Order: sequence, then C-alpha cells, then structure tokens
Amino acid sequence: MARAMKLDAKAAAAITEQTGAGQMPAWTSVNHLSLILELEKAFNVRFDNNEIAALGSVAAILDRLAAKGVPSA
Amino acid sequence: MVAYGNCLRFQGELVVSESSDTVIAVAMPQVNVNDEEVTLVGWHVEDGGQIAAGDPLCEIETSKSTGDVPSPATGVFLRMVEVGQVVAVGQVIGHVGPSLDAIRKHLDTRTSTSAATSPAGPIVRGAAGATAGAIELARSYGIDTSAIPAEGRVRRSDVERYLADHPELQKRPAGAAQAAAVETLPAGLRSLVADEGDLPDHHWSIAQHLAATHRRLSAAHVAMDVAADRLVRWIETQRQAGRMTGPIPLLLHAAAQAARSCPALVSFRLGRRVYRYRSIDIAFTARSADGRLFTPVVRDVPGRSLTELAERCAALSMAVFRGQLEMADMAGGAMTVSALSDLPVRFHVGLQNAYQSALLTAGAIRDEVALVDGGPIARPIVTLVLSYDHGLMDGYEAASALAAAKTALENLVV
Repeated sequence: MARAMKLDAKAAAAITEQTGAGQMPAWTSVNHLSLILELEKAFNVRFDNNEIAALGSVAAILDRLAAKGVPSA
Repeated sequence: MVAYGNCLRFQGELVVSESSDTVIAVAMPQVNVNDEEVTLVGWHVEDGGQIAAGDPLCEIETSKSTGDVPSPATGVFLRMVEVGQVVAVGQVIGHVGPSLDAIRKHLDTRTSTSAATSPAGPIVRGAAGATAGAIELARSYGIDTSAIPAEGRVRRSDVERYLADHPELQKRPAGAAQAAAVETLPAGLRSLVADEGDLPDHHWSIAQHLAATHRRLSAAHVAMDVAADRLVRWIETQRQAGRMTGPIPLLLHAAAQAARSCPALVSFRLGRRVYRYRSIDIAFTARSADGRLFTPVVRDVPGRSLTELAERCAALSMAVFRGQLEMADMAGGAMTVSALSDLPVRFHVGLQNAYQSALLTAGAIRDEVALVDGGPIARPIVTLVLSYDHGLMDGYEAASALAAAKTALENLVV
C-alpha cells in the first residue's frame, strides 16, 4: 500500500483497518488503481473491474480479500 | 438485419449495405473515434467459405486495441481486402451471399451509380457518398469526392488511384506542405537539437488524428469558474464511505446537462453536413499504467445516477490501467470530458476528438477568497473550459451550454 500511495515510513505506519480514502489525501484515483494492481500481485487474486470503486477503505479491501480466500494476518 | 452473436458490439453498429435481396456488402465499422482506418490482421473465414450470422469474420487492429468484426448474416463470404491491408472506416471488406455465383453476379451488375445504396446506420459518411478517410485525403488535395469515379462509395483507395492517374493534381496541398516543413529539419537547427527518434505509435496515432480533426473544425473555447462546494462535498462523502471517485463522474453529469441544453455539443460536422449522436454517450480521458491516453465511453450518461457514473468510471479506468480496454468501450463517444485534478492546474484547453465537436475540461479544485455577507471566506473553485466548433455554434451558444454545466455542478444534491 505504501508503494502504491508513495508514502513515507511514518505515513505508512499510520495505516489501520479504519483508514480509508477519506482520511488519506494520497489515496487518489490514480494511486487507487496502482494499489489494486499491487494487491493483485501480492495476493495472487484478481478483482473485477466493477468492484474497484467500492474498495476505497482498508476494511473493504480486507473483506474482499477474505472473500477471495486470502487469510487475514 | 444484423446479428452480432458473441462478437464485440460496436457503438456505430456494423455497417451493411443490402443492395440486393441476398447479397450483403460488409463495411468496416468505426470502432474508435480516433481511428479512420484500421488494419485487418487476419481472417476467421476462408475466401468463399461458409459463415454464420454473428460469427467473427476478421480480426482488426486500431491504434489502441484489437477485436473482431462479426458477420451480419449467414452465407458464403467473399473477401475484398487482404490481410495486413489498412482499411478505411466504411470501406467494404467483403460480401455475404447465398453462393459465390450470386455474389459475383451481384458485383458484376453493380454500376458506378450504386452510391444510392449507401449503408444504413450511424456510421460517419461524407455528404457525397465517401468515407471519412476519402474525404480527408481528397480535401487535402482540393478535390471534390463527387468527381472521383468509384464503385459505390468513394474510398480512400479510390482517391489514391485518382491521384495516381492525375499527376497534375499531386502538387503538395497546403497541409502536406506544412507537414513537409515539419519533417525537414532546418539546417540551422541541426547542431542545436538531438534526434530523439520517432514518436511511439500510440502518440503518433493520436497526433495524426488530432491534426486531421482540427483541419475540419474551427476550435474555439469558453471558460467559467464554478463554485465547487457541493462538488467537493459529494466527492468527500463518497470517499468517507469507502467509495473511490474523483471529479470525472461529476464532469460527465455536467456535460450531459450541457448537451441536453445544447444538442450541438453532441453533434459534429463534415464540411456543411451536420451529424448528431442519437445517445448522450460521453468519453473521458484516462491514462494507462504506462502513460498512454485513452478515451473510454460511458453510455447513456443522463440515465445514470452519480453513483452509477462513479462505478462505471472506476471500472473503465481500471480496464485502461490494466491495458485491457476493449474497442467497444471506446466507440461512439458524442463528446469528451477531461480533468487534471491531481496537479495544480487552473485550467486546460482540450482538443476535440475525431467526429466530436466538444470537449469539457476541469482544472484542479482550488480555494479562493470570496466575499460572503461582507466578509472574506475561502471557498473551493474549479474552472471549466468548453472547447467547441465555432462552425457549429457561436460563442453565446457555447457559453449558454457551459452555464448549464456550471448550474448542474453548483446545484448538486448532496
């Protein structure tokens, strides 16, 4: 996530399950697309293009990853 | 008339010309507003082979993607072009009929006056029964396409043949002379510049089509500042709810309202002839991960809620980012919107796409000081610019259309 959002270590450490695009200015539309690709690569999953808009929070992403069989940390 | 089966659906629909009861001429559909020509990269049917309605006839490649052209009917197919050939939009690529004999008989009986059997459908075609590519080439040499002999509609290849037969016409036209000047580096510059090689194909294609489009229209522009309080609130509300979006869905909404008040925005002209898109399908600009620009199209913008527009934009943007946008997703945009919202851009003036006359752009949202109740407050402002064809509408009409877009954004229900 830090790579997709181009975050420094401090900003990356502040990310929690409650973090969403609304709290994070770096979570721009373009960075969101990069994040999706990073997630797909990291977890070997594929998101449907139609579900991309709804993945604007860490919680939503974790939910979708769990639904795709990715175990939570 | 046309069965598509599992093939890609093109916004412009497959163009067929049913000039007899049984033989159908299959013309190349327009699959991308930026492409007047496509390359035929392979046939899916043997010459003289059987084909079923909806089955893919051939694979084509545009400047942006590849796809299949479906057969409009069941029967025997006779090819008219070769693999690797560059085909103009509207050019006949073959015929479907009950038998080869029937097709050949049909072709034998066609006369040069068969332009009357011009294809049906909303495909772009010239006033004199010529393809857009033919019109463009002929116009660049100052030739009227009606003077060019052709079987059916005048195609680019007909113009090229005509030019070959009339060398006296081959003096470099104004546009070509200009291009030649650009292509030849002045001697005085040779020691001052480094040769960086050719533009990548994608950029070159865009450059060519923008240049061709802007030879046809008279681009003019009008700008307005818009109070963006509600726009910002809507985006923030969406983001707080975990729904990713930006200004593009709002710009689409505003453009649709502008188009409703001024149908010329979703029209374009070829010379004197005016064409208007039947549906307000609007393209937006999006960049792929490797920096290439695409214009996916959102269908029926006025019929969608903002949330639906946001979802569709996100899905199309993702397809662009992955480099997996389909040709059908880029076809048939009636106008285009573009936002440069991630950079501190006050405004940018867009260049219209081919077969469109209007482009609505937004800069970044910025805070400006305004006087409210006698006191200074900071409020978000965004500048919209509408690029239009002054040959199609005047400045007052364009400003009125832009005012409709401004009103739509300032009165958003959040």
